Amino acid sequence: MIVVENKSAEDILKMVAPYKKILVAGCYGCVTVCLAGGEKEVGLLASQIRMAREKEGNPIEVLEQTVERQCDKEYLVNFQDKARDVEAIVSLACGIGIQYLAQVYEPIPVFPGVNTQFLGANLDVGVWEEYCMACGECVLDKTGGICPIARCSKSLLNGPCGGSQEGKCEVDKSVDCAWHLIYDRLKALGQLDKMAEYIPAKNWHRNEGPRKLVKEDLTLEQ
Amino acid sequence: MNNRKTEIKVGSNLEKVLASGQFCCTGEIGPVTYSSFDNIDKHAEEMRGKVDSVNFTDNQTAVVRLSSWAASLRLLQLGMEPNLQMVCRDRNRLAMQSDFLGAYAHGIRNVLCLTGDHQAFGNHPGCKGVFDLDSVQLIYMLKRLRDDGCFECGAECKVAPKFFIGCAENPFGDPFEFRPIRLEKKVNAGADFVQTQCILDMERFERFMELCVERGLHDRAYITAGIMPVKSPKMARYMQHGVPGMIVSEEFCQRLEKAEDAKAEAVQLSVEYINHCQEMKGVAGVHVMAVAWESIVPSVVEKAGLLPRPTF
Amino acid sequence: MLQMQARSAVIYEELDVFPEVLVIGCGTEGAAAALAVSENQPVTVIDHDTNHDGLSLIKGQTNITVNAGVKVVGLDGFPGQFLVSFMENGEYTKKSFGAIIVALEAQSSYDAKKYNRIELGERILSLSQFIKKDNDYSRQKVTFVLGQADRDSISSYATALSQAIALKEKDADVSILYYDMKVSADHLEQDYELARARGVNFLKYEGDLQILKTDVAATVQYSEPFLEETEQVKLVSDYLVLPEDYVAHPGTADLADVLDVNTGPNGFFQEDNVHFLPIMSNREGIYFIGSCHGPIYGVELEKEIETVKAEVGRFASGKTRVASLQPQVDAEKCAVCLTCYRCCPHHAIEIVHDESLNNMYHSAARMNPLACRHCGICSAECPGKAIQLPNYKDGQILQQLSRPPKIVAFACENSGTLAAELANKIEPELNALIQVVPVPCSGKIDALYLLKALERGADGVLLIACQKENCKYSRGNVRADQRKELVRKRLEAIGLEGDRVDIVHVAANQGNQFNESIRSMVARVNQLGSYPGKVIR
Repeated sequence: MIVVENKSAEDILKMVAPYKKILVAGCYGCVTVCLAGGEKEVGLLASQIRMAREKEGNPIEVLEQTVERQCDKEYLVNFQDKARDVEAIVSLACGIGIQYLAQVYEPIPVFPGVNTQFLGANLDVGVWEEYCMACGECVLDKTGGICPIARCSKSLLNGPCGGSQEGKCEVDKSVDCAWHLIYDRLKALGQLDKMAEYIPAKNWHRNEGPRKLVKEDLTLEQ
Repeated sequence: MNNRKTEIKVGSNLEKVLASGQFCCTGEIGPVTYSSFDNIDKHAEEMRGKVDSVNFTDNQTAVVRLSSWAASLRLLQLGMEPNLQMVCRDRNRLAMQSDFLGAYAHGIRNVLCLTGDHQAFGNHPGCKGVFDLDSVQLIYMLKRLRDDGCFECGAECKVAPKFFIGCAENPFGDPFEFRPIRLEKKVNAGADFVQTQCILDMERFERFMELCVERGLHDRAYITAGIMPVKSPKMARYMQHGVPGMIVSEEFCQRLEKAEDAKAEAVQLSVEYINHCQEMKGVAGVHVMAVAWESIVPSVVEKAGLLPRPTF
Repeated sequence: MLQMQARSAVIYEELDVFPEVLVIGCGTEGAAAALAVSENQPVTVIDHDTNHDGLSLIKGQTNITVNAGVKVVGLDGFPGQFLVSFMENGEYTKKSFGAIIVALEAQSSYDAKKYNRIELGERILSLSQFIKKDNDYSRQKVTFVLGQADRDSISSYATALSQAIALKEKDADVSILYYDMKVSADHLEQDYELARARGVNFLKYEGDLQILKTDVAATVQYSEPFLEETEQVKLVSDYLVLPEDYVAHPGTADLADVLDVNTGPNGFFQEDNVHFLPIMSNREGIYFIGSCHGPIYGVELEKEIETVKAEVGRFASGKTRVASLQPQVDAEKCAVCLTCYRCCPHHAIEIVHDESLNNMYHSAARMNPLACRHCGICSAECPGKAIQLPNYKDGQILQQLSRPPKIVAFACENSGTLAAELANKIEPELNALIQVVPVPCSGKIDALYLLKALERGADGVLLIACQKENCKYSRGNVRADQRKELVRKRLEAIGLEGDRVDIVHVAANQGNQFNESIRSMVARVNQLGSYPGKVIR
């Protein structure tokens, strides 16, 4: 899941300062699951904006709406009645949804209500941890199912650095050393020999600009 | 990817000392955080004739310092042999290789390949850590440049830099049993010599060396032991608790604490450790890193009986 | 002013259930429960360990299956339809039950430190040794020492009294040496009177005891508080009986983990919670009887068994009727995020998949009507506002806030609204300044309600919750505390005063405390002035 964190009210208030009527747009996808951009959060933010502006003596009208997913245009269409009526939109979707919404509703200005953080697992209520960096070249087969790209502070590929001690990362004692986890897992799997294997320099796939995936056999127009 | 000792590959002074079977002794100078060679000039004179080569750290502890290659070049100009340290944190493979081309063209022959402390420790904690390569991949890239004459991408390098390739290993990091395996990965990748993390717990280092010897690593690369004179008991305690990847034995701390003259005891401890390493199987030399206390190196080396240094 | 809301007519549904009841623990307590329950419906008893004291009582009884050497390793489903996984001779088996009764008996543990390190022996016996021993005590002098061990319970007192009465019938000379005679339980006062009437000596001591042992007698030396000039009394007996401490069964933590039920003080089953009946767990359909939730004596146990028999009896026919009061989920809004599932203190929520559910997952949370206790915590947690609790829908609650007075108090109906009624009787003028909005649990108070109350014109908002660690729904008041903090931060983030929102923990009878909190909130908002963020003035 994509994990996001709410932007500060201060930042959002600055973005919407010039406007008198806006829409706060939520998404029922990942951002609802990570408790930051669903209908509840839309309500809380909208209420916050209204009250802040009342306090300044500069009232604002805030509409609220949440759609299935902001990363698909078929769902974005559902905003059209309200979008037509406002001067700006604050989106609580991830960075993808925000951009797509801005693209579909140009020239209405669209502002981010969240900071998109990472791809992570939901370990418990209110706890998320980064598990994947979408590097485009998965190495989990070599590393016992634990990703060193996302979970090692230095994204090392050939074992822990010298700062790993007692299973913890040198950066922060509260962070597990990913390579120590990998070592323990491979040991448990009887695959310690994989620790000795050289993993060559990685193709970071950044050389062609933004990544795009087209599955030729699935596209509608050939 | 097998390294054979004794055969000279590069011809640096350090390599010659090691290949001749003599116990090597290297020093280290940390470049300053401003634009000046003053400390290098000063410490170089102190170390002249006392060490076989001098390491220059590369933005140590992720703090901006005068660059390692510029410091190395200065030492060359002073007629001594540098060992250029390079970390993976600050450069991608492009920048690294370009620096190697320049360093080699200037006459620098030794390189020490390191991962580098995480940027979060330094004075620019918000910077982007590069880590395009890890230290093992960096070693392999240098070896291919030297032995195959090609860049990391595979393209030919017409006049390829031929470095005496060094690596570090930390016997005090975890998982402990993996440390010799990690060193073997580096040796397989092309490391010719090894400088270990400074030893402040001799027992653990002995166990580490036993595992290395078991794997025959000492026959494939020169393993040199890191020695650090620690100025004060306070510093020793700080390193015991506050520095990641470090183990400082209780005995080490207590000897400094109980000593009337802590500095003299620090020298004495270093001398004892060096002499102990001379007796240990598989240890080819020592690397004396007196962080912020470079001027003590000559006296440690002399008291340890490592003088005079061989010349070729 | 307390606004009562009109409740809509309740709809009932009839559900299929398994009549069979699982009793975990084959001691005398488990056996007694099994015997009682088996009068109405089938029972399976598993021993879970080596305690088979109750085996002889239930072996061969109709309607009772005994399965020794079996351990519970997993639990799925809901009351009426639990699916229990067992480990039996290294193999997994599964079976369905309507309800589960936990009867892992506490174990007695003699602690010599509490009796000046005296070791047990021929003449010095622990209470449990004494009960098991079949001696003839006629014309013997027997002394029970109370108040040294097992201080928190009265079961040792009850046992000592009943044993003393029985000994008297066998013509023994019986003394009870006590520091503080506890009789605060059913029938104990009568037992005490009876023992006195039969001639049991009741002797009070003070301070430390000294116990001395010889081959022919056991002597206890103590300070006598009533007689002047006598400092130390030596009481010589043939037998000295010393009560032990009771400790939770060693399997308690593991079983609690598997059943996902809460444990409480000293590691016994059940939380220390005034809202809970003795047999209740945090899950419907799972009950605790006997010493598994703390030392207990016969009469109490009998009552517990009667209660649990009635509770599980509703499954006896294989069908049960239940009011549909559980929250309803709007599948279109449900993101299947699992937040409600994880937050539910009662394990009442499942995620169901059904093609008719109108979202991209064709899945949604569903609250089980038998497991749900209608606290509404789930609906306040839902990030998609997909969950609505009947009679307390967001619309119904927000509707009450159309023109709020100075202070809005969202009050838990287990404490807050009751305290509010009392408070209103004490100081009606003060209570005219507030509006009480009843909620089934403080965990139902959505952060949105708090902001909305302010937005719509209140100057201050209170969350009235139960006393800490005494939430009827385990953690509703903890979540309420967290939400207060969250809303305060949100107000401060927009430059408004966070302390316009506060939480008060009260019990139902604390009307004065309630008024104190109102008074202090009124004073606070008077000082702060009218809330500047009001949108509807």
